[in-house]
Amino acid sequence: MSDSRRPNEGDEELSPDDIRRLQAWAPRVPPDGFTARVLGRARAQRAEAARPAPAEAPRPIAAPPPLTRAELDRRRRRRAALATLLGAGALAAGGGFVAWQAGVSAAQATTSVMTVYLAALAFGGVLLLASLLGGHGHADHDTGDHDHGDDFHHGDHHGTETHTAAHTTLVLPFLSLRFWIFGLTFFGLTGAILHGLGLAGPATTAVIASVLGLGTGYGAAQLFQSLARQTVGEIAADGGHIGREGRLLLPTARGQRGKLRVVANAVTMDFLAETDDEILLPAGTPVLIVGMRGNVAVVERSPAPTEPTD
Amino acid sequence: MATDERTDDGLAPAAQRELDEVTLARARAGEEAALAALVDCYQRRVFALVGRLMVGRPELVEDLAQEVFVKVLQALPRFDSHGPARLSTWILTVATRTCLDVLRAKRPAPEPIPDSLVSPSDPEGETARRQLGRRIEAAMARLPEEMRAVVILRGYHDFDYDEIASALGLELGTVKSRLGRARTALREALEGVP
Repeated sequence: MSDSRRPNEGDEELSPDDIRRLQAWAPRVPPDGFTARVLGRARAQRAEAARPAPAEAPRPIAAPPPLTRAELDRRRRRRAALATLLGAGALAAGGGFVAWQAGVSAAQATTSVMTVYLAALAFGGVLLLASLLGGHGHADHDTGDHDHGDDFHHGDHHGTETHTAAHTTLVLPFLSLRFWIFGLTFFGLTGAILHGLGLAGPATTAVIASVLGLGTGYGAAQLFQSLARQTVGEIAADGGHIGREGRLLLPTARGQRGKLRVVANAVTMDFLAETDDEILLPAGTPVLIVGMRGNVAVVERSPAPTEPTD
Repeated sequence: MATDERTDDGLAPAAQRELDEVTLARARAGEEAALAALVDCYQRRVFALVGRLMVGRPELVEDLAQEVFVKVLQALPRFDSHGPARLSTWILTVATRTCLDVLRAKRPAPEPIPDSLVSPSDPEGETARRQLGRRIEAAMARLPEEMRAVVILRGYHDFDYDEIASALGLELGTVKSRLGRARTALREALEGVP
């Protein structure tokens, strides 16, 4: 033991021979850049501590959170049930009307047909107005749009999902609430005008109103789905990525580029990623895009973990 | 300012230098250059201590050493430079407690070191010295972590019994008994080594 060591003599004390032997165990030495890493880590922790709680943190843009598979299924079942109910109700009403028509006089029939057109117009019109005044109301959430737009998990199979959504809309248009709203409105409007003004006979009016109603409903469903696709395309504009959340595929740190995957509206996008954080952001870290430098996303650790999608 | 930290490995107490008062005051005020000087001054001692306490877990050493300094820098304004403890003792106490917390939580099983690598053959040469070092390392790895901490703080970092007791939260008598048992264990492990 060296002379400067403060004495603690006793049977338990290490002898000079012990000390000499212990010296053979070489110490670990700090690697180059250790001080800089320590200071960076301390700075990052201070910044993290100064950052407001995630609940209070302002989000740059209100990117819709990805829906879970269970939530998607639940919504799909609810829409299908509602659309089926509407369809069944319309069929029952139509059948009852036809049966009732057989037993009434021609004058009564004229009045009854007009009532049907007006009822359809009123029903569809009220829903259409409600959806328009309510902004992104339920009318925006038909089957096709949701299959296309919110399926976070199937982002990698975007093309397949889009095809499935279009196929669903083509084969089962009555599953779309929007189809029924527009269909009933224009069926009722056309029938009321043709029948009320006497521009066509009852049968011709019924055919024209039905064709126009079906066509308008189908067209509206297709049009809104197409608009949704265009919205997905617009997201790809540079500034549109800021505020989106994603996960790192490759780690990044200051001066070290990584790779980021963002899934937005079923579109999977990979970016080169940079961060100004001093500490390493490992692969798998949920991150927030806070800026774009050319085609490189500037990211920081997401204030709150991305919601699990399953 | 710190000087010649390159010669400081915890084995030459006379050479251990403390950060000067002016730099310490600037560091406590948060001045980046002074904080860097503090880390530079004590990093070798911290690395030596953490590396030895975490024997068998080398992959954790740098991260823990960083964590130690982050804690030190955060708590630096509360360090009483006129109190009884030297800054180095305080920092090494933080390092010891940080390592013991991890060791208690993880209870790592150090990898056994093969006997073929630890048999001294030429005590005069560097090879023999390295082999002795590995033998000591293997013996240390077998000690319970708190006993290991006692002998490392005493044998490598010049802590006296009171400082060890304070750092580990032990009674003075416990420190002595653990050091005695550790010494015995080490002597048994190094039996036959000149």
